[in-house]
Amino acid sequence: MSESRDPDQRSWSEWWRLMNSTPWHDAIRGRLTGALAARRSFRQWLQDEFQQSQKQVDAIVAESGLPEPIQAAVLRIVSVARVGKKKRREYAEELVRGFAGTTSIALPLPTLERLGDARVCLAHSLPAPVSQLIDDVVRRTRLWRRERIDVARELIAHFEDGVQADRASEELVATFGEPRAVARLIRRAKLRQRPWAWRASRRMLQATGVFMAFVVVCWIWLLIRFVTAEPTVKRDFVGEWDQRTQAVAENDRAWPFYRTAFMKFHKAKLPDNSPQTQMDWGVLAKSLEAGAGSEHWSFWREHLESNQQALALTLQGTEKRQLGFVYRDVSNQEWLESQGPKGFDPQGFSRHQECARGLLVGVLLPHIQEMRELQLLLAVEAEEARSKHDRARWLRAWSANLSLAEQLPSDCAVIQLTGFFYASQSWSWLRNVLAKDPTLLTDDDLRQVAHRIAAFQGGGRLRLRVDREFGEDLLQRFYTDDGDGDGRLTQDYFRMLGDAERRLFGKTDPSRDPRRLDTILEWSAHSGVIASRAEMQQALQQYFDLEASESAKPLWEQALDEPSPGQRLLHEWYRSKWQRLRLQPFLGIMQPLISMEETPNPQRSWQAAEFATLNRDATLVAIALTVYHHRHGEWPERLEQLCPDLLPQVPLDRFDGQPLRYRVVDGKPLVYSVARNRLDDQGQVTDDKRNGPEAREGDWRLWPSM
Amino acid sequence: MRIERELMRGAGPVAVLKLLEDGAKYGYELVTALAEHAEGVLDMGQSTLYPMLYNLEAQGYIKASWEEGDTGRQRKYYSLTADGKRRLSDGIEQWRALANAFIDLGILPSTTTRGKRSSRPNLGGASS
Repeated sequence: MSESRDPDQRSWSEWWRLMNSTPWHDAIRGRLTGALAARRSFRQWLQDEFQQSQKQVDAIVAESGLPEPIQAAVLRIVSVARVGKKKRREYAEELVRGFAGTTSIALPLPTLERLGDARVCLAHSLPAPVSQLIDDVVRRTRLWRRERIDVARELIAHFEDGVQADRASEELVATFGEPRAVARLIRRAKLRQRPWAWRASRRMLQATGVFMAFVVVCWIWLLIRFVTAEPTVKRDFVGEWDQRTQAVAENDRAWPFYRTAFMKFHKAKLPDNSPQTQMDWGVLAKSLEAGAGSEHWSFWREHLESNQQALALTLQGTEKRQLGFVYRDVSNQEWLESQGPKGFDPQGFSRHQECARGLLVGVLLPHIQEMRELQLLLAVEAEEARSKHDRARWLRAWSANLSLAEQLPSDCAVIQLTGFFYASQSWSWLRNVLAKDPTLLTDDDLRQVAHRIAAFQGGGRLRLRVDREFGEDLLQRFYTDDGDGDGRLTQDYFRMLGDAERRLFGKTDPSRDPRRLDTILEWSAHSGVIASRAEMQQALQQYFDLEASESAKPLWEQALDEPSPGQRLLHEWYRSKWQRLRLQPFLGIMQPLISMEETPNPQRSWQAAEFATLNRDATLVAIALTVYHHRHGEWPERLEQLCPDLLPQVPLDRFDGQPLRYRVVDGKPLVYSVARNRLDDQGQVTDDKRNGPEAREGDWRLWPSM
Repeated sequence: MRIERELMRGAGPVAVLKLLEDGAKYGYELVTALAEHAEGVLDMGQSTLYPMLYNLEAQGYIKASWEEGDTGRQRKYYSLTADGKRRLSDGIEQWRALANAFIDLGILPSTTTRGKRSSRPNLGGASS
C-alpha cells in the first residue's frame, strides 16, 4: 500500500519499512528492478527533504528581522546540526526567539545547553580565528557539558571585551596562550570545583588504577623471575647413601640374594573368586593369622612350595650382616625393569628427567616394598614348620625374619617402621609358639632366642636423619640456589606435582599443564608468596626437631591421644591461610598427616617404636616364664621371682613406666599392659577384636594373646 | 619585567583578591588592571588568570555570577567572599613581612619602594 503513496508524503518510518521490505518482496516476486528503483527514489527523497528543510529555515531566519551577523550565525548553527528537518526548523525558531529583541549575541543558558559548546562559539559574531581558539580550548578541557558551556561563555565574553577595546583578533589569539596548556589549567581548576563525592570516586579510581598497574608490574616481574629460575642440584644424597652402603664388605651384603630371589619369585595370585567362596585377600590374611589348619591354609602352602628357590635365597641373604642396597648398582637394572610399569622407577618419575634423577625417595621405597613379599614367605615357612613340629626349621625361619628386620638401615624413620613391623612379627610368632606349642623349643633354644631378642637394636626411638635429607633433597630440586642457602621456587615444583598427580590418579588437572599461559601466570603469581628456600628449610627443621624431641621421650611421657608437637605445628600452619599458602610445598607433602585427625600418623610412628620395645620385653618375660615353669612346674606369683636368673630386671610397661603387669588366672599366666587408658583393669580386654595398643579401654594382653 | 612563575604563583592570587576588594570585576577587567598596574609586573596573561580564578572559586575565596553589564552583554563577575577577605588580609600580612625582611636585608630600598607605591593604585599592603 505504501508504494502507491506520494513519496513526499512518506514519513521516515514508512521509508525505513519500505527499504527493508522491498528486497524480500522483490525476491518473492522476482522484481529486482523494483527494489533498485525504490532505492533511487529514496536518495532523491532525501535530497528533496534537505532542500525543502533548508528553504524553510532560510525563510524563518529571513523573516526574523535580526541583524545580518546574527542571521548568519543562526544559519551556521542550524547547518551543522545533524538532525531531521523537523528539528532543524525547531532550532531555527528557537535561535530566532533567543536573539529577538536584542542586538546581543549572547543566548539564554538553556538554549546554549541544548545547542552544545561547539555551537555556542558559532553563535557569536567573533572573528573566525578567535572562535576556533575558543572552540579548541573548550574542546580540549574535556569537562562536563555544562562546565564547557560556562567556560565557553566566559571566554566569548572575554574576547568580545577585547574586540570592543579595538584589539585585533590576531593579537587576542597570540596573547591568550597555547590552547593545550590553557585547557589543561582550566580543566585542573574546574575539577577542583566538582562535588567532593565525584572527586573522592575519582581518587579512588586513580588509586585503583595505580594499584592495578602496580600489580601488573609485579606480576610481570614475578613471571620473568619464575620462568628464568632453574634449580641447582648440588648435593647428591643418593651418592652419599650409596657411599655409606659401599662401606659394607660385599660378602656382608644381603641385597644380591634378595634381588635374585625377587627375580625368581612367583607372586601369589588370588584364586577364582566365585560368589560361593568369597575369596579375597582379607580372607587369606586371616587364614595366615589363624595358622596352619585354617580353612584356606592350602593356598599359602602352595605359595610356599612354588617359591622354594626364593625362600632358599632369602634364607641365605638373612645370614648376612647388612642389607647393602647400592642404588646405582647396574646389577639392579634388570630387577627394576622386571617390575614393569607399576614398579617404582625413579628415572621415570617425572617428565622433567633432570629433576627426578637420583631422587632420594627412590632409594627409600622400592626394595623395602618388595621385601615384604619375602617376609610373608618366611611367615608361611615358620607356621608350616610349627605345624609339623619341626624345631630347627621353625628356628631358621624365625631367626631369618628377625635378621630381615635387623638388616634394614636404622637411620630413616620410614624404613625403621618396616623393621619394627618385621621384628614385632618375630616376637608374636615366638609368643604364639610358647602359648600353643610350649614343647617345640628346648630351654637351650629359648635361652639362645632370648639373647638374640635382647640384642635387637631396633625399637625405642625413631631416627630422622634420612627423612631430613629427603626434605632437603626435594628442596634443592624445587628451589634455586643463591649460594647462601636461600633461593626461590621454580617450575619444577609444579611439574613434579602434576607428574605425581598423573602417577597417582592416572590423569593430570589441565590447569597444571606447563604449556598453558594461564598456568604459567598462575604459577608465577603463586611463586611470589611461597616461602623462600631458607624459610622452607627452617620450617622443615622446626618440624623435624619437634618430632625428634618427641620421639626421644618414653611412651609414658607422651600424650597418647593428642597430636604430636610436630603435628600440632602442621595444623597451626594449615589453619592459617597465609602460612598454608606460603608453606604449600611442605604442607602438600605432609597432607596425609594433617588430615589424620583421629589417629595422627607421626604419633603412631613414635608409639610404634615404643610398642616394638614393649612387644620385645613381653616376649622376653614370656620366655623367662616358660623356662621358670619348665624348672619349677608352676608359674611364679610375681615377675620379680624371675630376676636375676632369667631376667636382669622386670621390664617396664611403656604406657605408664611401671613394671609390666602379671597375674596367674586359673592356673595360667597372664602378662599384660595397662594400655592407652593407663589404668590397671586386671588384664581385662573390653573388645576381643582390639587387643592391642589401639584399644582405648581395658588392657592389652601381651601373653598369651587373645 | 616578567616575574618568575613560582613567585607569581604566590603573588598572583593576592593581587587578584586585592583588585576584587573594591568590588566585583569580570575577567577582561582583571586582565587589564593587572597589566596596567605596577608597570605590568603582575601581568600574568589571560591563560593564567582564568584557571587562577577557577581555583580561587573552588577554594571559596571568590564567587562568580553572570550579570548583564553596561553594554547589555552578559559577563561573569567575580567578587570576594568572607573567606576571600580573610585570605587577602593574611596574604597582605605575609607580603608585608616579606617586604620588611627584604628592606632589612637591603634588597628593597624602603624609600624608593614607598615613593613608587604612593603614585600608583594600591595593590597590596606593603606601602600602607
